[in-house]
Amino acid sequence: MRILVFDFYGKMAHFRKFYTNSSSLSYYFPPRTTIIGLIAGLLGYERDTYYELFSPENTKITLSIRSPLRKIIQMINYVWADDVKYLNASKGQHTQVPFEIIFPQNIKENVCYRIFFFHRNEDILNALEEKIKNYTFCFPPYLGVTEFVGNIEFVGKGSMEKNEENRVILDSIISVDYIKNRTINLETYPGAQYIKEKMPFSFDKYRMLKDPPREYIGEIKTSKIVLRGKIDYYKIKINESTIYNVVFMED
Amino acid sequence: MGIYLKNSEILFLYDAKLTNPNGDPDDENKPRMDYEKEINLVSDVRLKRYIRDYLESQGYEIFVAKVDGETVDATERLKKLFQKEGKNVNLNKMTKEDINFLLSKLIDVRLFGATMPIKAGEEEKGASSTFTGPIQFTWGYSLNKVELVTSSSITSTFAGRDEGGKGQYGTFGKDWRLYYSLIAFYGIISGYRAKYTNLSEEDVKLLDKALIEAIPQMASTRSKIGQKPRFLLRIEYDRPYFLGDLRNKIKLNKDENLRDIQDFELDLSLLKDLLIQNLEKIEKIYIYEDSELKIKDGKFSDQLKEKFKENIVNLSI
Repeated sequence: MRILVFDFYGKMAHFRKFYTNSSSLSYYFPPRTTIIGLIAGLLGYERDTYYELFSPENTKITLSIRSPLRKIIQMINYVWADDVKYLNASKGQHTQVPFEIIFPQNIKENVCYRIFFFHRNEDILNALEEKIKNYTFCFPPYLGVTEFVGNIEFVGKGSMEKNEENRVILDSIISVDYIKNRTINLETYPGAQYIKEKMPFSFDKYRMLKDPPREYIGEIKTSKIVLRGKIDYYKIKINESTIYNVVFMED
Repeated sequence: MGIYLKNSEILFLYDAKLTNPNGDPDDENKPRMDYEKEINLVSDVRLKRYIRDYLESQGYEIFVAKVDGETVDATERLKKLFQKEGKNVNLNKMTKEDINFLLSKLIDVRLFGATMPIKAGEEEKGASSTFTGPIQFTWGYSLNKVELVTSSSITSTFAGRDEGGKGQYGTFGKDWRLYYSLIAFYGIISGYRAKYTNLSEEDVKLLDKALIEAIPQMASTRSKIGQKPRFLLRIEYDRPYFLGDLRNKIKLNKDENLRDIQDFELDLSLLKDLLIQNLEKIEKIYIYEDSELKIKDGKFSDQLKEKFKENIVNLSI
């Protein structure tokens, strides 16, 4: 099986948590639905036309956090509107909303996520590969909101192999269900910072939740998750020296 | 008006001396900061507001604005635009021609997008159309480590209680300023998105002008005086292409204890190398350089002319 690997990076990011309303808090890494929106935008799909095409049955998606992350909250003045006709700021009123931003450790670096993407339809994989390699994106990529302009860098095409081991150093994020269902233990190690995020998983064609949100664990300082137990995972090999151990978000 | 079909990338630098570039309303209106790294932050909205205010001052119709000081909501606003042209249009049953008419009148929607209370044809859901702007700026940040000015207290005197004979009283406020901040913005213009808002070539040229002129002209509140644009680079491609955040390619020879533009030199050699590597994909480069800005190896437009020749366009005020 062939899988595309690419970096998705920018100076700042904001992936809004669905369960915050009076504030805009951010996930540390993009939900599956956001990654699908990114890929659909690169390919040129119109809004709300692609959810079934990228359903969990058709895809295997995961990500690796490739830079140490931290958060800063900034207060933003938003237009206050209780009706759509006041969205032109005609009332002159503002409301102040805490807005959480993901930052790299040093502003001279980038927030970077490495995306692993497989689709059953070879045409989609081929089209995406061509667009990423040649930088011929349709809609420009951004990290959650349009003011956090992003970019995409092709890393490689990988082969994908199932493996089973008792101890794995994982490069990707991992779902909590996966850990529970297999009685796996997370190993702690110096410098690690594990984060758990509850995220939307999939949409139906009307952009309503098709499956319940899922919880994922990511490590935001070193990008490694150490697992112990009976672990089924995928080894993704780009070349002899570039190999990633991953579990997909759909698993 | 031809639709803008190219892609552009923008690097925009301006400085702020003894001023507050962007207050954080949650922190006594202190300048927005990444305190851990001593970096000044400026939101994209702050920059867009300068541009909107400037365009309005030049006589353009702006959607996100008060109309001649009166409060006119979005629905009335749009109806008035149609009425001026003798049209009677149901905002809930707009044709493509109607939408194009509105876009032709509202420049800030063409540039930055907006959510408007209109419905297109038989569209079922929602009561509004959302246009995502083809022009997007990411948040700006300072290239240097900044310091807050000490002794920032001011005294205000309010007259009150005269009738009771208690006389006047005063109160203290805070006037937060930075000694010096060289702020860098990165932005993109997407030709693909321009099809949705009918962004035109003339609009993009106007954006260049607005970036150079808006801040000195529009920064009129007390805490905003002291800001000046120093450098604008817009790289135009004839295909969907972006190099990525150009701020990674610029360096200062000194980034601490800065007080003035004379205190440092800008090193653009990595940026120059990057542009030369992508010579084939670049159609034009538009440059504005302030005369006080010191760039290593001299004027950037002169450095690039050797390779890019007539594809360099100097912008000026």
